[in-house]
Amino acid sequence: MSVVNRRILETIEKGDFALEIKQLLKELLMIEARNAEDKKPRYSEDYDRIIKKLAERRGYREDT
Amino acid sequence: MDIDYLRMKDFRQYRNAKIEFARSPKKNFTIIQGVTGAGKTNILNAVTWCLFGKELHIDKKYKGLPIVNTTTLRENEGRASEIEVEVQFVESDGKRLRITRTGHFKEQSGNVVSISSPHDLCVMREKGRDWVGPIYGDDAQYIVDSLIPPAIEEYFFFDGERMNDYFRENTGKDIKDAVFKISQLELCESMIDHLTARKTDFLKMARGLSSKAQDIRDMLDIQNRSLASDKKRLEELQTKFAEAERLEREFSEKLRNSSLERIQSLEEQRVSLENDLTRIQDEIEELESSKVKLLHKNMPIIFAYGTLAKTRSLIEGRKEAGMIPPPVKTVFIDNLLKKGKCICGSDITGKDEFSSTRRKKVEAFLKQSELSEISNDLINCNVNIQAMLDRVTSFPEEAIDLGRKLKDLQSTKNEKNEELIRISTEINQSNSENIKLWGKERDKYNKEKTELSVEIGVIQKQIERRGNIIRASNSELNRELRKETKHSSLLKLMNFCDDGIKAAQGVRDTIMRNVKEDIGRRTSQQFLALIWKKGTYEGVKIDDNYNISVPHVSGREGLGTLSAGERQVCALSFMAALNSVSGFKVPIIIDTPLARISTEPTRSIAENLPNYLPGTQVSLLVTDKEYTPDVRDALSQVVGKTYLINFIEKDYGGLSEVELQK
Repeated sequence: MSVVNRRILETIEKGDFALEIKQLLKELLMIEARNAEDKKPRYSEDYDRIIKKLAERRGYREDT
Repeated sequence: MDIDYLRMKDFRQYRNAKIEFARSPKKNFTIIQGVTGAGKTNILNAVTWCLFGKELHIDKKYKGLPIVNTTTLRENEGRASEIEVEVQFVESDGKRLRITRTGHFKEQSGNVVSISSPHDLCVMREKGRDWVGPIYGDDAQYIVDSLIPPAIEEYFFFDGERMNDYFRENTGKDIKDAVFKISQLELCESMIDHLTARKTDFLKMARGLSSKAQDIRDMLDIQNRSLASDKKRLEELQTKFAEAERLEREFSEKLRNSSLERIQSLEEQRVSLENDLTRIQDEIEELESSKVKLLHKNMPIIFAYGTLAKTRSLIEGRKEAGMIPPPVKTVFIDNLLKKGKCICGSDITGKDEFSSTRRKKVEAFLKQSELSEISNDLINCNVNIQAMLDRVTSFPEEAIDLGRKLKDLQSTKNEKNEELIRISTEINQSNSENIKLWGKERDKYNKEKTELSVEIGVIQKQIERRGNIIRASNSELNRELRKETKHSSLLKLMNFCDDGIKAAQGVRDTIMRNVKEDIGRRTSQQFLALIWKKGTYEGVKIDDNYNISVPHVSGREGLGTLSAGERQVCALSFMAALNSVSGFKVPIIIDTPLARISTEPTRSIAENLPNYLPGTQVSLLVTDKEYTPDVRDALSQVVGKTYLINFIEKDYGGLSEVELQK
């Protein structure tokens, strides 16, 4: 089950991006979908956590 | 996903009602029939209240009235009354999902007050042979929102009667918003904004930057803030433009529907001229852009033409004189010197006086040869120079041709503009005060539109310029940060954000393009299939600004002259198209789908509707007038269940019961 339009997820999947970027977009979209109804959503902490986690993973993958 | 059943307990006029929906693959239409005021729209409200806690289709007459059944409330004499609405879905894998919302109310000093209860939403989900749950609160709401995001529910549960005004009330911007909403492109937009903001914040929080990096950071900060304010301004202008466009269309439509035939015809001519002018303006802009490209391509060569031609003639002259190419290759003489032996066999090692004299001679020859070697490059250059000179020979003709086309278009544009002024003047000088007023209002909004489009163009250019500055500054900052290893983790984060932003923009643009094309094509196909005047319209078109047009086969625009029924069909086709591109497999409930359509065409719509919502469970809330024997007959192959709403007027408000028809 997904809160995000399948078309978006499929376009991300088919895109010529690194795995971590695909993961980043999918995770961030889930946050956006969850926050869609909020007038002033709090997103910074979630964003930072995901960006740091995946940027590190990409760095690790590229280094090895 | 289908709706299995809807159960309502003490919800508005329903004290205890259960509707089981048709779910057979071939017969998945449910008809719920009732007279006006029987409670059809409240069935739609019961569904949205259960899912989202809000009655999203509330009728004016029910606003302010308690949601709880008034008879129950009165019978409970001040004690709490409970409403319960339950919707059970069956997901594509056959598993059931039960959503129950409850509310508690009581009468207090003549007012109905809500009593808060800890768990007003409860979800139960079938897993294997068991049920998981109950799941309450935010988790439950998250599950529901995943099924049907509340922002797009209106494209699945909607009022057919309002469809008549859909394109009259909504501008290109509104249509674009609907497309963005249904395809969830707004999620992409806010993701891009938030990623950009996070990237800026990572940079803001960085310590120990060089003074140059700090300067770039400060500059980027200013530019980003200005860009955000430009974008906000652009949005405001686009909203104003859309409003002016809507009002212009409204007054234009009034003129076209006026009782005076002459005015009708003039206004139709005017609309057609406006369309021609838009097309001509597009062609002019395209030609001007080609002209600029032609100039960019050829100008450097044209400026340097004299010098290039002279260089070429000099090289040719030397070549003809036999001065180039060199008679002997440098590498050959160089090898002789290395070996210390001349081509004639003499020693040129330079170890004695004679050998040294001979060596010097050969070395002098080498120098001369080196110079001549450059001439090889000159010969190659000459070939390139000739190619450059050849390239510009067609320039004058191309430039003249473009200029002539532009002049012709400009002159056609002027003629059409003059004709437009003549028509507007004639309309504005009409003897009818109303027509004069409508003409003036239409002109006013047309002028406002023109002024706003200039302002929009300026701000769009400004946004583009700022974007370029930001991109260049980012590259510079990257270079600066790369100089020191201590910034490597910051750089990694920023680059990761950048890649994410670029990818998200790409995804957004791809979807935007595909969705627009898809919706345009599907709306057109459905409209042509549903419309009863075959061979009258070419279809439905959506332009780059998401303005909808319905070109008549004669070439003139037909949207403004569509009848109420045709407009409703057009909007229904658009909704079905939006629905099919949404990516959500959600059942559709349409309240009064055929209200505005006269008897004869309803059969055609009823026959075609199932073909355009294939595999989708559809429920139609219809009046007796809509559900004619013809419609009933046309839908007989797909209708699985039919219900009748019986409405009984009581002292404290009405009561409705739902009865399954055999």
